[in-house]
Amino acid sequence: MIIEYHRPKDESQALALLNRKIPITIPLGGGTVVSKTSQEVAVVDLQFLDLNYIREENKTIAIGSMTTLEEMLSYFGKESAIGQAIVIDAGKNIRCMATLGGSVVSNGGRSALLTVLKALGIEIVWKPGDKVTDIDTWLASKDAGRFGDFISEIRMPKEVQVAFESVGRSPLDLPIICCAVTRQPNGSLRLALGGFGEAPILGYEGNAWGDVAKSVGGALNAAGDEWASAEYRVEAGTILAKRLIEALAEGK
Amino acid sequence: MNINLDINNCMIPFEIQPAVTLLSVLRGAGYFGAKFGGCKKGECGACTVLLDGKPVNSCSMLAAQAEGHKIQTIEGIGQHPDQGWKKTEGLHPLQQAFIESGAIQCGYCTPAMVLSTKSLIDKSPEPSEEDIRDALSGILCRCTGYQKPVEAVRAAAALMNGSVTLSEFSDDIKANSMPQMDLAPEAEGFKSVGKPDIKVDAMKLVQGKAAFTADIDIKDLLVARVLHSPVAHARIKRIDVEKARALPGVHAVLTYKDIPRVVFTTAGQSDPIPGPLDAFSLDNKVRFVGDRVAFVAAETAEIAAKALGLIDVEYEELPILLNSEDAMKPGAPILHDEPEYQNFADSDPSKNLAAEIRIDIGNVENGFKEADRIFEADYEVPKVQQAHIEPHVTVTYWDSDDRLVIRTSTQVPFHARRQLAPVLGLPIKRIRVIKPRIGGGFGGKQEILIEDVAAHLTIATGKPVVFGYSREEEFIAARSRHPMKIHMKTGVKMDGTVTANEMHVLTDTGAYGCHALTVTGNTGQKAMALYVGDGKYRKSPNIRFYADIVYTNTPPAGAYRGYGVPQGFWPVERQMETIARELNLDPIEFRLKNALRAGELQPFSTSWSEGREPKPEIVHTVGLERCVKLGKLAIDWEKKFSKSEWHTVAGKPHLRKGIGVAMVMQGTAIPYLDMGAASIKINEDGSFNLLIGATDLGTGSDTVLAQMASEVLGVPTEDILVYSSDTDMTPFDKGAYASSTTYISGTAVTNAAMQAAERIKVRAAFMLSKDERKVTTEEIVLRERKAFAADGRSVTMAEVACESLHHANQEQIMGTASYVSPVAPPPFAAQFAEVTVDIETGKVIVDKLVMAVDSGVIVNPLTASGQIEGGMVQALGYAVSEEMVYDAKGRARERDLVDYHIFRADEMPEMKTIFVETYEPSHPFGAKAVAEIPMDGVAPAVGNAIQDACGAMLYRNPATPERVLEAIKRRK
Ligand SMILES: Cc1cc2nc3c(=O)[nH]c(=O)nc-3n(C[C@H](O)[C@H](O)[C@H](O)COP(=O)(O)OP(=O)(O)OC[C@H]3O[C@@H](n4cnc5c(N)ncnc54)[C@H](O)[C@@H]3O)c2cc1C
Ligand code: FES
Ligand code: FES
Repeated sequence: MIIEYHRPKDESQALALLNRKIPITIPLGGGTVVSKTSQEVAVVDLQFLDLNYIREENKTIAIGSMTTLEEMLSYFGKESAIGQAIVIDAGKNIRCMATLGGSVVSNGGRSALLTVLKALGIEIVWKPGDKVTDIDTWLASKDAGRFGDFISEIRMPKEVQVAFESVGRSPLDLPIICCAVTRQPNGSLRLALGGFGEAPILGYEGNAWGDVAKSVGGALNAAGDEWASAEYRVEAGTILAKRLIEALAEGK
Repeated sequence: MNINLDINNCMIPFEIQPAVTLLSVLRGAGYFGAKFGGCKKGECGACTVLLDGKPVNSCSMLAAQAEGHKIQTIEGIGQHPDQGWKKTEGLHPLQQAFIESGAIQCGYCTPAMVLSTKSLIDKSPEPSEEDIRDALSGILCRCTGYQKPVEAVRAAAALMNGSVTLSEFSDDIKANSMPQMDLAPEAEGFKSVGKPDIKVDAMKLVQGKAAFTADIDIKDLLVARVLHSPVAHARIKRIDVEKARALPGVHAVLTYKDIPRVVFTTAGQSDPIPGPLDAFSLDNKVRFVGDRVAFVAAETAEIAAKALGLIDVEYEELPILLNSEDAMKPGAPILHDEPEYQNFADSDPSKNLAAEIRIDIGNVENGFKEADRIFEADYEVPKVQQAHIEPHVTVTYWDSDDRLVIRTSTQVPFHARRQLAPVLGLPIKRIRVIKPRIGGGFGGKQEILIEDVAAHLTIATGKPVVFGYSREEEFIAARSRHPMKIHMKTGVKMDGTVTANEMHVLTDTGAYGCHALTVTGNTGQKAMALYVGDGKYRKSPNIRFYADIVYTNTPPAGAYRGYGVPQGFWPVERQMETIARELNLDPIEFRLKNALRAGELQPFSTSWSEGREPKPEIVHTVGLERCVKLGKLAIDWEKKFSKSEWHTVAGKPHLRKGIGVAMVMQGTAIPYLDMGAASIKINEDGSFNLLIGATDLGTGSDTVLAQMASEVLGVPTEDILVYSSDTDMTPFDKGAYASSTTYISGTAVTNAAMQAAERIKVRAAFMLSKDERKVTTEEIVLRERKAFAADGRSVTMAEVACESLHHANQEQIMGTASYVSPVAPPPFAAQFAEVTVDIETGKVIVDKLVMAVDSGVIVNPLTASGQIEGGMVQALGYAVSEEMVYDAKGRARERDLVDYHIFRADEMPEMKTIFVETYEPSHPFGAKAVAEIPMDGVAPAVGNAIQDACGAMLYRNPATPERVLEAIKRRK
């Protein structure tokens, strides 16, 4: 249960609040998860911190952590891999509320968006100090030992090709298996798999396109749960990976 | 903390706790237009408000977050144009369009839809259909199938952007919202019946008025919560509630030790209940994860939740039974060993048998001998949830006469009163059940599921109590569709004549036997009645239907739209498809060759009637052939079926297209049992109050009943003021189930209206005779709010009313009637589906659904087509996505509407509804039922289309990707 609500006007006020040990104090993005918490926490609403932006920089796109999924959708478009994934993860209302920062923190392995972000190899920028964590490190440890900080920005590469496909029970059902692949201008691939588990996993990274199927199969070997067997995910995941890579090769 | 919220341009101060959501603040301040779907994750969107013009879920944000932003609620959008001497700007065009297009069914999601699409139109005055569906994507609607809401938004946008004028607006809406109609000539002369009148409750629903059970503010209202069992089967060895009772703010904690032990059933059915009595309000034994352990009433929901955590329970765990196939094996754990258990018919708790059915029609063994081929297969259908967006909710209080008022979202107010009386230790006369608007029910509220919880707590505390299920409770502790395992055996001649058909069903009723006998009985009675065979078999079909309905340690099943029939048509229609393909027969011709025809006996009518005495029944109207003809045209069957080029997708070798059909029938009410009643009285202005016990759960039944009264009385529907379902105020009605309201209650209304009409005619004849000549009652015709004599002279309805109430020979012109039917004329339908299958992953996309339905004369094409569209979408979930799964300890996999995915507006297939009218002679206006039949055919039609696409033989729905891929591999 939320016992205190704060809306700091700047970063230092926010950090001062987040640095308190008592009560436990956490950042508040859109609140779609936090508003339902049963834990006794104080929340620090980041809405006054000007973290709502999407900027194209040299080779990266920098997105403020308070940018909503809806704003990202209108920036990237529905046809984009990010757009497709956002639409699967949430309908309009949640998209208008949920923030990118909140999603990176709270989304799990069944999140289509997080799978695409994983394939993109995003960087997470933290205040204080603009410390940078890569998505793999973040998802491996999540908030273990995290304290007194908040995400200010997410950075993603600008000049990569991205492709995404998902299999669910209906067109916009949560994925049972989904796959996102990025291709760098130098041809190297990064492939993420989602639809199960705590967090999306890396299915392949490198240049040896011929090895992808085997690597994906290996990555999904133990991916069975109450929604699908590992055998199914290996089979369907491998197919999705092949298809997406072919599509990227054809420049689609 | 103190905050100021800008709500509808008014700055309002609030003193709140930091944890309070925006929804709580709004509802607490009387903004009841924001509804609550019980969501923990924020998945339904019923609580939508606009924040700075954008739709957000007010249940998923803190009130404090909203400070400094502009909040718009439905209350700030539009209002009734005419408020006595005060004229207003009226409704917003969107609201008007929602009303006129039939986009409102239960109306629980309507304010959310209006707000969300207002946000769209404000930004994009010319939205595409995709834009509209996107705007609606955050709001789940279980009633409409989204088709009419989309149409409403399109029309409103057209009006607002000037592409249509105000005078074109209504026609524009009608042109696009109406279904295709194949009219019955007998119904041509009707004035109100058959017209797309707007729903009588639409005005209040579109404004988000406080129309639903929880939309009420009572002083000192306590909040109830239930402690649910975490284990599937156990005795409560020890339960200590002292800490919970001691918590400040807690007013009562009840366990099985505190209330009388009265055996009953939660299934709301007529007396005597056709099923076992096997439940208690609270028991010393729990039988499924989610079963009741204790009740708490506290001053706030938070305190109640905290109190639940303080109840200390020691369970003596018992062996659990999850698989229905194990239920009757020797040594199986026995669920019901309580001495109070009351059998019905063949139920036998010592064998975990809640009910048993053995029906043999004709000589089945002979039929098999006469067959050239025998086809046998095993099928399975899942447990699924009604998922009405308004959860179960009840408010109870003592009134000033010390009578217990139960304000509840129920489909069966009169059964609730009768069945609860012994449980609460009150005589029936000291209970009043009021049913406000219902936010969807679909059978889930044909259950007296939670009323006793609030009532016991009101009795314990003397205070008013509200109890509403959360969405999670809907999944773990409400009712569902009975899952079944079915064995089919069919004998067929090479020419396609079915010689015998046999179905063995093993039904899992879960921990309690609610509707155990009757649901499964309908599985056979409807699904196995359609294909009687051809030639001599028409007169004497050979049909066997055997069923065992067993207990398991899973949440109880119950009534769900279709009531056993969708479970039956999955195996029957998959079996028919398989046979047609094996024998190289045209699947449509094969079906029609064997299907029941007009003038034939409903084969089950001689052997089974919901646990009561069966009586033979001839089926008079069957529009199935014409349904097939028009359905085929609409889906372009001839160009697609068996045309190999159509089955592939250019550039996508992994995709295959398929087309499928299923034919289905339902029933209309339960003969000799279901009774509805109505009373009607005239007012001075010539309007009428129509009082009915019938329970409109969003289907529009209040409207069609008003239309029938209006047809008889010659006044527009708007002059019929409907008040429904209050056990003190309205006559009895068995409630909203068995697709009976239009047919049964409609006939009662018609008869009551005819009595009133008769008195109006007598008085009008007298009034008109005063002038020149003697006018007879027989010559009086009621129309256009007047009573006309044969010579064209007339008196107005208001003049007749005033004369009768005030001037001469005063009397209250009124009528009261009831009706019970000797027959249950079945509606029929042909359901078509078109799919695309990814043969490498098993993913299925349903592209198009067409349903051609014979429901007799359609009283209101707008509301009826809404039923079909919404039903098809519910059935689509049954086809591809919905199921409830349990782990080895009986714990539910699905606990919210994210995991239990129901279709969103932005992922819908194209849908088309066609009504093929027949004129059912047993109804005053030729009507049969509409509401349940759309549930029956979609899953098998989709299954058949998948088979057509890629040869995958599915025996089990839903067609999940993994199942489809497995089936594709089996084929290989
Ligand atoms: C209907 C529905 C469907 C959903 N579907 C999916 C789905 O498919 N897959 C999935 O994974 N999730 C899903 N979610 C959950 C989804 O992850 C969240 O709704 C949303 O993305 C969280 O964003 P938020 O801004 O509202 O977070 P908040 O509720 O504000 O915060 C969530 C967490 O993130 C932390 N946080 C927020 N902002 C920051 C920041 N800037 N820096 C550091 N920490 C921060 C908070 O402290 C909290 O721990 C769904 C939710 C709903 C309601
Ligand atoms: S999303 Fe708020 S009540 Fe369901
Ligand atoms: S009308 Fe949408 S939920 Fe009932």
